[in-house]
Amino acid sequence: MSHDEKLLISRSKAGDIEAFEELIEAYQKKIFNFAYRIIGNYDDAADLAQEALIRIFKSIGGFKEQSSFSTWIYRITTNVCLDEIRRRKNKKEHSLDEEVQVDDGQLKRQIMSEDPGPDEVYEREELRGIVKEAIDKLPEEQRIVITLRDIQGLSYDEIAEVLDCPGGTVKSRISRARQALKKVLSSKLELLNEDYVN
Amino acid sequence: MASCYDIRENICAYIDDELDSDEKRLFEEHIRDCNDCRRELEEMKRITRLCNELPQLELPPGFKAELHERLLEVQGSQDKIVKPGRRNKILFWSGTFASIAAGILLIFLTGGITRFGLRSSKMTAESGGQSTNMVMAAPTQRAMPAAGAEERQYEVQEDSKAYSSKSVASYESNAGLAVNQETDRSATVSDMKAAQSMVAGKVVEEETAVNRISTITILVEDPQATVEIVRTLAFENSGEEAAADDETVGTMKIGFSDPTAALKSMETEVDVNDAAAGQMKFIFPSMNYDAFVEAVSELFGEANVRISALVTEDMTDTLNELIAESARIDNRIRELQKGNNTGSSEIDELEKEKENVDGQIERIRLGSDLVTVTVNINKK
Repeated sequence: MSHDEKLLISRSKAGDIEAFEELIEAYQKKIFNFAYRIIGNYDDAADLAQEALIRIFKSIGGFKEQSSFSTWIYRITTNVCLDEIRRRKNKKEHSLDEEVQVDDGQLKRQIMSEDPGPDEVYEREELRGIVKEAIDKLPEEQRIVITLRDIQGLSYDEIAEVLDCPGGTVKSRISRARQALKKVLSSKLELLNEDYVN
Repeated sequence: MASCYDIRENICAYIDDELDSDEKRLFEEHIRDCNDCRRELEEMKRITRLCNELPQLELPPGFKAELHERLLEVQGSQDKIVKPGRRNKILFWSGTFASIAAGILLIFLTGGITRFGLRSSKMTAESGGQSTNMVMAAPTQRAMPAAGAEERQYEVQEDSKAYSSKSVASYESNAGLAVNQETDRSATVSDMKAAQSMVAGKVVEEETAVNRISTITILVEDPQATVEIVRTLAFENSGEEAAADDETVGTMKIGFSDPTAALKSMETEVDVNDAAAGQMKFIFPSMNYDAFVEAVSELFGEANVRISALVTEDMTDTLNELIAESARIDNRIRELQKGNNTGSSEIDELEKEKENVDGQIERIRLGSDLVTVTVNINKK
């Protein structure tokens, strides 16, 4: 942690909004992208990123400076996203039978069609769309490790710190996640021209 | 030579450069000689590259401005939150003011004294130490279950003309009444006795006290990370955190079945560290308790949340006894003072005892409007 960051953290702890905004300047895009990969929807990701940043601000007083600030904020963001996923699952469990029976894909399409955000613009490319869809279909624990590793570039140790789990768990989750992605993607990718992939 | 199975397990770690040098050497040796594993490695590299190449999106327009607005809101609401320990003290003092005022007013009402001077001007309450000439006119008013401490008000009349100009309240410590009467002491002691017993009788008649405690147990994958979430939820519902071992709140012994027994029965595995790290205590205004419970259930899912029944015990009798006890101690002190035993160690001891009793009275009164919630966060 740099000296500047330490200073900004201590000012943020005192409730200084400007210091906090400076502190998170480098992180908010990452937080937003992380939320986007986990929740799969542009507008929801914006809301969740806001929520995560507010929660970070509220709880920064409890941040222990011997741990890394970036893993700490990823931890909070992960929890905000998981809360949302649980909330949705909960809602789904409590809703009517016929709605519960809707398969994931159909449900997703409904959500997407209700809410056609600019994400479509970004995901227009077919290949990227396929990869995104494959990631969306992973169980959330795998989606989280893949996002932290491949999109955010965290090391296994850092991921273990974020998720508060052993390094071995991270290693095996990443392995399972990529295996699952391979399974989904390889059949679809065969249909695409290899040149297009490269 | 390593088995293909071992190698496949390590493919991702190899791609991510997370193998140590020995593992890496073994891996590369195997890959050189094994076509299947080499093909698998290439495919995995490709999958990884596809993930790596997903574009980073720019922040949505207006994101920072919206965040700024919300931060200002949070800052505004946090300014209003009085720190838990401090609030308890303020409440304590407010309560003390109220009960002292009750005594003063009832003394007026009994008609024995029309002017009752309380001398000394020091106010050491943390809540302020503002000026001295204060008369409280809130005889039986107790802490209202308002959402925020700042909204709790007692009718404080500063420089009140309604009462004697000599009426100066003295709050030297939380020992309660520190009375130096200007009038003839012997004449007032009996009135004082009458007033005190009146206080006991009167207050108990009007005041019912209950103590409410609840325990919520949440099962999650990551207890440590959940702490912040629960804290946020509690704050959002006007809860204030007390130290888990804070003895000023919710420590009264009441008929509460052993919460740990219920807890153990629902857990397959009790991690002592997690249990210790994941216990928090919050105090909620009664009216906000339900909202908090609802928020917790909604967030973590009802299946993962166990909520004990809100245990309520009627504390009226206890309160009654304590108030009477306080009055008894007070009278004894006065008798001793009358006998010119000022400064004797017995008086000191009695004063300490009274302080303790008055503290208990306050806690019971506070408990009537507040719910103390112990939140246990345990690993699934």
